[in-house]
Amino acid sequence: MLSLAEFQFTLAADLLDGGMRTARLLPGDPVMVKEALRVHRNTVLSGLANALRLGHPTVAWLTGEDFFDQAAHAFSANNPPHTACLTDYGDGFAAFLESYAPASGLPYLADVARFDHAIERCANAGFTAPILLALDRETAVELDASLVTLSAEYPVEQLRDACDSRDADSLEHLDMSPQARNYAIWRGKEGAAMRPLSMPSATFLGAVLRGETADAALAATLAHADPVDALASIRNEIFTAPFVRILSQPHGE
Amino acid sequence: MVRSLHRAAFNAWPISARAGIGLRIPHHARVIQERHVADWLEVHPENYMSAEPAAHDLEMIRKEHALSLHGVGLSLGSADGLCAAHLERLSHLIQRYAPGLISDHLSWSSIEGVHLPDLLPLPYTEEALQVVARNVDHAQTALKRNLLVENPSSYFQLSICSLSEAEFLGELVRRTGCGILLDINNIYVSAKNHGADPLSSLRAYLDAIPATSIDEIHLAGHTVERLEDGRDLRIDDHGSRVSQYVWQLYEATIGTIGARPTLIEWDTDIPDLRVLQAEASKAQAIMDEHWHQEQLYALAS
Repeated sequence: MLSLAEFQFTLAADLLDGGMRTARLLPGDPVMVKEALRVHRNTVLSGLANALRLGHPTVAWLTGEDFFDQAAHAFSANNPPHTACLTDYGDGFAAFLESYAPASGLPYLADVARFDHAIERCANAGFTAPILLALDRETAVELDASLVTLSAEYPVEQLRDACDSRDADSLEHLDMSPQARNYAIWRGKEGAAMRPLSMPSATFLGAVLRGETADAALAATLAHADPVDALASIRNEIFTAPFVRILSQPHGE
Repeated sequence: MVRSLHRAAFNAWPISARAGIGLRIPHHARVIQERHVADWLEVHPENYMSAEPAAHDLEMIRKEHALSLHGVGLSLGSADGLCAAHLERLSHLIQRYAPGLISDHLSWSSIEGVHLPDLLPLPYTEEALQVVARNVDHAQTALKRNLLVENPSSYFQLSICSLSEAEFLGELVRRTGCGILLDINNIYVSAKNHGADPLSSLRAYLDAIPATSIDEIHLAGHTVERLEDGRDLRIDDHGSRVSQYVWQLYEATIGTIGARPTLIEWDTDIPDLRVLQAEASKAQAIMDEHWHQEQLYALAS
C-alpha cells in the first residue's frame, strides 16, 4: 500500500522534473493521469515563474516573456520555494542566470536580477526596529532596518529606469562597459529608494550592515582609500541620507 | 467541543449570509477609493504576509468591510505536518485583521520542506484522514479559531481511495469540529472530469456533510480544454464568469441548506470590479429569492 508521504514525495518530484513516476504508482486511465500531471505541473511552474517575474521586472522586460519563462522554469525545477509566501522567492536567481547558458550573451542580466530583487524586497519590507550604530560615546545613528548595499558592474539603475518607463530606445545610448557601481537600497516613505555610493561609502556601510562596529568599519574602509576623500564621502553619502537618523550630537558641534 | 470553543474565542466582524467578492491586489486602489464595494471581501493571506504596502492597504479596506482570510498555503494534507512559520504568519494576520472567517483547502502543497504553489490532490484513505484531522486540529489550536476546509477541484481519480471526497469531508467535520467551505464550481469540475453527474455529486456532498457545518460557499468560472482523444478536461482557473450549470447547482444548494456567505472568486484575467459585483449580485438574488420562497411557504402553512 502506497503511503501518503511516498505519494506526495513522488508527485512533487514529477511536477518539478517532468517525470511520470506517479502514473506508474496509480493504475487508471493513463490519458487522464498524464493530463492531470500536465495541469498541476503547469500551475506549479507558471505560479513560480509569475512570482519570479514580479520580483525581477527588469529582467523580465529585457529578456521577453518566452526567454524569461524558460529561465524561470529551469531555475524553479532545482530551486523550489520552501514557504507558501512567494513574495521573496528568487534568492539565487541572479547566481543561476550567471551560469545559465542561454543567457551567456547577456552578461549584465545577473546584476539586473540582484538589483531587481533588492528593490522589490525593500518595497515590500515591513517597518521594523532600526539598526543602532554607536559612533562614539555621545553620538549614535539609526539605520533603516530594510537597508542593504549592492554592487554591480553594469548600469542597473538606468536599465531599471528604462524598464519602469518602458523606454526601449534609451537602451541603445547606455554605456554598458563594466565598471564598479555601488548602491544603498532601502524602504522609503513611498516604496523602495536607492542612492548611488562611492566605493569608500559602500565599504563602510557594507561592514556596518554585516555587524561590525563603526570603528572597525572605518578602519576597513581607510585601509583601501584616501582618508580625506573617504571621510568626505561617508559624511556626504551616508550621514546625510534619508535612511540615517542621527540620535545625538556632541555638545558644541 | 472544538467548534464552540473556537467560535467563542474571537470578536470579529461576522460575515452574514450574503454575497461577497474575492479581493485581489490590482483592485486595492479602486476599493480604497470607493470605500465600500461589497458586503464582505475575501483575500489570500499569503499575499499579505511579506508585503507591507499591500498589508497596509488591507487595513484601510478592512475598516469598511467584513473580511475572510482564505489560505492557499497551510497544506492541511501534508504527511509531514504544518509549517510552524507559516502558521505564525497567519496567526499574526488574524490578530491584525480580525477576520470573520478563516479557510484553506483539502489538499497539500508541501513535502519535506519543498513548497509547490498548487492545491495538490490527496488520496482519500484512512491514513490521509488521520493526517488531515491532525493538521486541522493543530491549526485550530494554534490559531484559536475554527477553520473552514474547502473541497478542491480534481483532475486525478486516485484508485487508492477508500472514501469518497464527500465522505472524507463529513468524517473530517466529525473528528475535528471544523467547518466546510463548499466550492460549487469545484464539485462541477471534478464531477465532469471524472464522468459523474454534477447534480448527483452535489447531492452526495449535501448528504455526507452536516448542513450546519457548511459556513461558506465559493463560486467561480472554469475553462474547458478538448483533449487529443476528444474528451473534455475542465480546468478550475477562476478566469471567467460562473457557468450556467454551476449557477443551477448553487440554486439547488441554497434550496437545500439555505442561504450562506457566498463568494465570487476570480484569480486570472482579473476583470473590472463591476464584473465581480455583478456576479455577486446574481448570487445575492438567488439567496433573496430563496428567502422570499421561504416566507411565502411560512405564510401558506
